[in-house]
Amino acid sequence: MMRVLLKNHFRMFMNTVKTQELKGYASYIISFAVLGILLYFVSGGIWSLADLITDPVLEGLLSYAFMAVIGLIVLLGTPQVFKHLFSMSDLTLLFTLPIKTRNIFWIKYMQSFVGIPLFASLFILLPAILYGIASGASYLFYPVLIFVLLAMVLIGLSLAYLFNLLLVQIVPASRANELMTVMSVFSGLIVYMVFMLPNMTGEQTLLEKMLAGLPLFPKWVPMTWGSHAILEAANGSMGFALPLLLLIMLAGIFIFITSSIVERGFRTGWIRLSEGSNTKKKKRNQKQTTKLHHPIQAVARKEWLAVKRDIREWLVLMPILFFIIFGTVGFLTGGGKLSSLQGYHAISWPIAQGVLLFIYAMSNGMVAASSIGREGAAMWILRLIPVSGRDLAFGKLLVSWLLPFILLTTIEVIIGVLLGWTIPQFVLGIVVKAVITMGISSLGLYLGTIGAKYHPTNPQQRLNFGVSILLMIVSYVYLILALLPFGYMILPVDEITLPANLDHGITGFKGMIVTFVLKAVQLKMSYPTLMWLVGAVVLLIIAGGITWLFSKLSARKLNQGIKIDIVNESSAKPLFGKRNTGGSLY
Amino acid sequence: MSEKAIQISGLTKAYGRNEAVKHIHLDVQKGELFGFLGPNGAGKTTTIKMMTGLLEPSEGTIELNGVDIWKEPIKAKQLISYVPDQPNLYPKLTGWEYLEFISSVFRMEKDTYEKNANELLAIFGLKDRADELIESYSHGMKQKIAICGALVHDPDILFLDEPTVGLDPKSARNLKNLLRSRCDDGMTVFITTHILEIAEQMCDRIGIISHGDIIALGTMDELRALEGGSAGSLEDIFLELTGDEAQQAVIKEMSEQDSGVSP
Repeated sequence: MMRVLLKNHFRMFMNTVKTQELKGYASYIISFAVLGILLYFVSGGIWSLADLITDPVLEGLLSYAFMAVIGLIVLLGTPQVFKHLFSMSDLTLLFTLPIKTRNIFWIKYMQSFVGIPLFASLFILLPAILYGIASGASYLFYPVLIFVLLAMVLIGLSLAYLFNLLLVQIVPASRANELMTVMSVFSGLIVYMVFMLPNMTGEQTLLEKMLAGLPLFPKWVPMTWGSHAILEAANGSMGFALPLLLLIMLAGIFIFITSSIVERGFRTGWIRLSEGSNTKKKKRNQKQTTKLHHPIQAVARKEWLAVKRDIREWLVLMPILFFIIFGTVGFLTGGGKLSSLQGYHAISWPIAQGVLLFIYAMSNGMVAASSIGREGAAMWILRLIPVSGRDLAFGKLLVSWLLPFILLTTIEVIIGVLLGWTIPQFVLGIVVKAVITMGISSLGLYLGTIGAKYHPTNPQQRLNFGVSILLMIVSYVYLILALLPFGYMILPVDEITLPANLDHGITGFKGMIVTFVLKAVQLKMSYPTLMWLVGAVVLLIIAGGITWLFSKLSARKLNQGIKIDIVNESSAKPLFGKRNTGGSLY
Repeated sequence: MSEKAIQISGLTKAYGRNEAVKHIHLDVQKGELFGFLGPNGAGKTTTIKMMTGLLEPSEGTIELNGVDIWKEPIKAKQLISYVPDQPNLYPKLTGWEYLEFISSVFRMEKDTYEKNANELLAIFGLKDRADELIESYSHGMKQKIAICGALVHDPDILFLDEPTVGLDPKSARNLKNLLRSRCDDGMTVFITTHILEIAEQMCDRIGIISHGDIIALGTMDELRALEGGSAGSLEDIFLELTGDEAQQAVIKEMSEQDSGVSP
């Protein structure tokens, strides 16, 4: 049976390769080229440094590399495994055929090898082989290296499978898709913390420890067994046997545990998820809850409900969370104390404004752009209902602007209270950011209308790659532009002294700029209130203008009809008949 | 019945050199239940999408109650509703919330909305499930809530693309009765279906499209007359008109066999 299944998969793979469009082949070639270049540089470095790498350094390097392999497989492989085990479209067919669940499971397990585990292994295998050749390692080195690497991959992969098979038993079926995404984020955080462990165990940094040949991990962890076995093998010693054996045994135990819960975890898990949940009833008191709204509000409400009810939608705001977590951890582990920041609000406030605006630039545009792709296959409704593009644009803009604004303003207020900011600082900061961020959101919304994308199982993929890069660039360009008048408004003129003679001797365009800046500062010093107002007006013109322009452009695009690229599981062209990649709506 | 609800002239949709819909002319009267039939790929859905503003025609005009949908889209869309064959709705809204959303954008009065929504949900047996998220609905239930959404604001013209697919027999019958009664009250219905009995029983007039051309148009009697005044069913007429020579030979053979065995 396994042969039949393998043959079937091989055929599907070949057909996929054969039926790729030119774009598909190009992406393969580019990916391989990038991979090749990276491997070339890594291998080149290893080749030239092979003589300088001492045994303890090599042991540390290998331990760390093995941890990276396991970490990468757990981090990136977990969602992949979930897809293979529970959401592949062929499972319905396979489970109705007279095939043992175990066979289906092992096919999926093998499938999982292609991808992250393969790439991660290649990145260790090839440079390590080159090291072996360059350093004249014993012939034992090569087979031991392969066995150790294979064991590490199997451990990582089994962990990803175990994680999925156990999780599917405890997660409510209706929340499985969402929780998988959240779990990926948390597995990312855990892997990050694990990677940071060597940093936290002593005074020295990881690099210092590695170069000094100090052990990075305790002796009992499998990464140390693996690196020790390879080192012994490289020196031609039979001392590799015990750690290698232990490692293979450990991999075997992991595989055994995984396979022993296949029947319970895989088939029943898939059935639970396929059944879904029909218990999501909302209590409704009709007289109280029935409320009809203005079309803009109706669109905004629809957007809000979609975001509120899908945890995955909130992942667009993950950068904010990361900034807060890593920023706080970094500050506290660096010996910082809150009391040392209090009382310096003239410094802490402008810095906080800059950081917050940077976070807004990172998230606001994406939140707004996502609101277009979110329509997905339901876009036909918006095209059919008698609502103008302007109302649609405002409804979407409202929610996508308000959501990060409320979140970040809450954080800002907490920070401000802790740091003792003044009331005018609070008010000015919040009002100015409200104005500036509207511009970012409208830019995002417009770019959403020209590059919308929808992936049914991945709500993060709402924007085409090129457009998302463009969004990042324009958000920051706009932010810099809007920051100029804001910076001018809050310029601490009391702290500045200008020379009596403003002749700077710089000519040309640069000179013009310098003169302009100096004159502006001089004016601000002479007429602080008036110039503050001028700054505010310029800011309003820039931010308001951008908001107006891009909302109008978005409305026009919405009136014309948006094309959303619907991502299919396979982007290959059909073997026969017309080419049709993905799908666009109308 | 003299007022034109739908007026199509010279409607064409071309993809490169291939014309999916070829210069069709069609009028549907107010209060008429019009059936639009055709084999797979004949151009039914393309036509209906152009009529509802979802697909831009290459040529021609479409007027709905005298309003050109491509010149005054918002005004025209105030008049219509559409239920596609695969209604993709908002998965994270409940049935009630979806109806509220539709009613809000059509600026309905709260009382009218509540009355209509309750009535429609009761007809389609969705009252008990209307508080659940649409993502938990079966295909048939999604179809039903889409139909409720299409009818809740009392449109002047209703477009239905294969509406009975996925509906249970009771709901299909309820829909049939509902459409008939709404048409008697003045609503115009433009329906595509593969179930020819439904078209035969329900529709005032029938249009048959094949390869982008309307090849037959009229009442059942007119269509029979077109086929030489036979007393055949719509199925016979449909197959006769849309089948190629080989298919027609098979149909003829089967008809002869049928008459041979019949007492």
